Amino acid sequence: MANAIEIKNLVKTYGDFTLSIDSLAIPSGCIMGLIGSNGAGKSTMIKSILNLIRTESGEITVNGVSNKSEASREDVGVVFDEIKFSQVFTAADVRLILKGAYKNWDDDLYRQYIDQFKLPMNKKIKEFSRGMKMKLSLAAALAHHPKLLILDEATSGIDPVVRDEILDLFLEFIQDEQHTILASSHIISDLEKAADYVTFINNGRIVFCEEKDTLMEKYRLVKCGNEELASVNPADIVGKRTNAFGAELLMLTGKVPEGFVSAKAGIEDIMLMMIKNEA
Amino acid sequence: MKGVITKDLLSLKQVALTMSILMMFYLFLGFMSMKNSDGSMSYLSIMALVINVMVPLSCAGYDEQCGWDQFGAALPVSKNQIVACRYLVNLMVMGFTTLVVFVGNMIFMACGGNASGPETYVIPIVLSLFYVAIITPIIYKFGVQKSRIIVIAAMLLPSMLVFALAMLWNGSAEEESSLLDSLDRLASIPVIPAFIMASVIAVAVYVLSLLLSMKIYNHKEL
Repeated sequence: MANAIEIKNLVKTYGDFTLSIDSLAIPSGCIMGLIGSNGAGKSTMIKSILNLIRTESGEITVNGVSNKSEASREDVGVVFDEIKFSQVFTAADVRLILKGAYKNWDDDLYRQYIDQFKLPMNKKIKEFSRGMKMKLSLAAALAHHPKLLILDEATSGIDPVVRDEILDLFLEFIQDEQHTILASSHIISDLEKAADYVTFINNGRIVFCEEKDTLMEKYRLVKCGNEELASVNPADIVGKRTNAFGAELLMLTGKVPEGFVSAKAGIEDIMLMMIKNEA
Repeated sequence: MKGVITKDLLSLKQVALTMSILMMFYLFLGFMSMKNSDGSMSYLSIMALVINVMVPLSCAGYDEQCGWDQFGAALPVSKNQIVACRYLVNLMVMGFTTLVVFVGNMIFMACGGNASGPETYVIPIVLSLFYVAIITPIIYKFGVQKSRIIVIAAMLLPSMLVFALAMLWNGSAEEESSLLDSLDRLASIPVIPAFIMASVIAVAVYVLSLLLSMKIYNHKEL
């Protein structure tokens, strides 16, 4: 399987923050969820992929082409956390702009998305709700038949109904095995529903990049009292949250001591426990 | 590139009505001056200059407000092309305002007004090229908000250049009378060669400004 995105030896520094990725490959045909706390480096990584920022070092290819080439962006659709078109534009204006920007722009497909999302064609964007703005961004990002869709916090601040609609669209998009989605989000439940792989970034470094199902099988949440906690080998504890009565531990599935009560760990649990353990 | 130019023109559509009203007003003022012996359409030419200079500020203002730069850089166009589009849009607007001034003058003359010389068209274009060439790289470097004061200061540069030339010619600017003499001597240069020289310099400065803006934009973190 070819890779939609390949990153090698990427380094980008902002003051005392450094994003450093030795190697990351995002296979074609999957949804890659990018998780991490604010300032962890998710947006910096996305900006690096889109060549919006100057990196100190590193090589990035998008669909096999260097990200520095304009051609690499012909097959990429991008949705940022805010709509990047002027508030005084209409959906019809957006169509005019992007029609002149992409070789593969498909007017019919754009109209189809506009109708599907029930968006007005001639109303100014400033009169749109946040959900409508995001839907317009998505229609704009998809109407030139991209192979790669990059979403930077695109679903934040949107109500669950619209988010669900958007997730359905992602799943429809990914039906084509040449299509790939890289989505950073704080709403981890969305990624749990849709993502095939999850990459966790913390303090500018990739903590893990794994298949979602494997990841969720890999760890267990263990609740134990103070006495039981004392009997656990500290080396087997991946993350720990203590309270007055005992602790909640994140442990590798095979390392859970016999007789301990454990439950499936969600992506959010894994992320939180690992961040606390690193702090 | 077509998409980026379309975006700028759509942004300008928002201020087009205000600009049209202003031009109509100055067209009207020109006609009002017809009864004077020295009546002309010079007001309209000045308005054309003001509009030409407002264009890069307006376009950059709209872009900054919505964060277009990030989206623009994610399109299949190079950063150099994005900058070139802005300079092209500036020229398109200069062409349009000059056409309005030309039509205004034709009507003015047809109605019995004084015939206007080439300065009616050349001076606004040359000054527009100079001003736009100066302010555009500043806007790219500092953004619209931060560069407002610098832009106002930079607007004085062409006049300062004329004074500097006058001083160089005279060799000394200590005496006010000698400076005025020099300005008179500058004004006495034959009109056509002066216009040709100024136009060539303006175009050269505009091209240099384009290259400088490209360099700034390529180094900019979006």
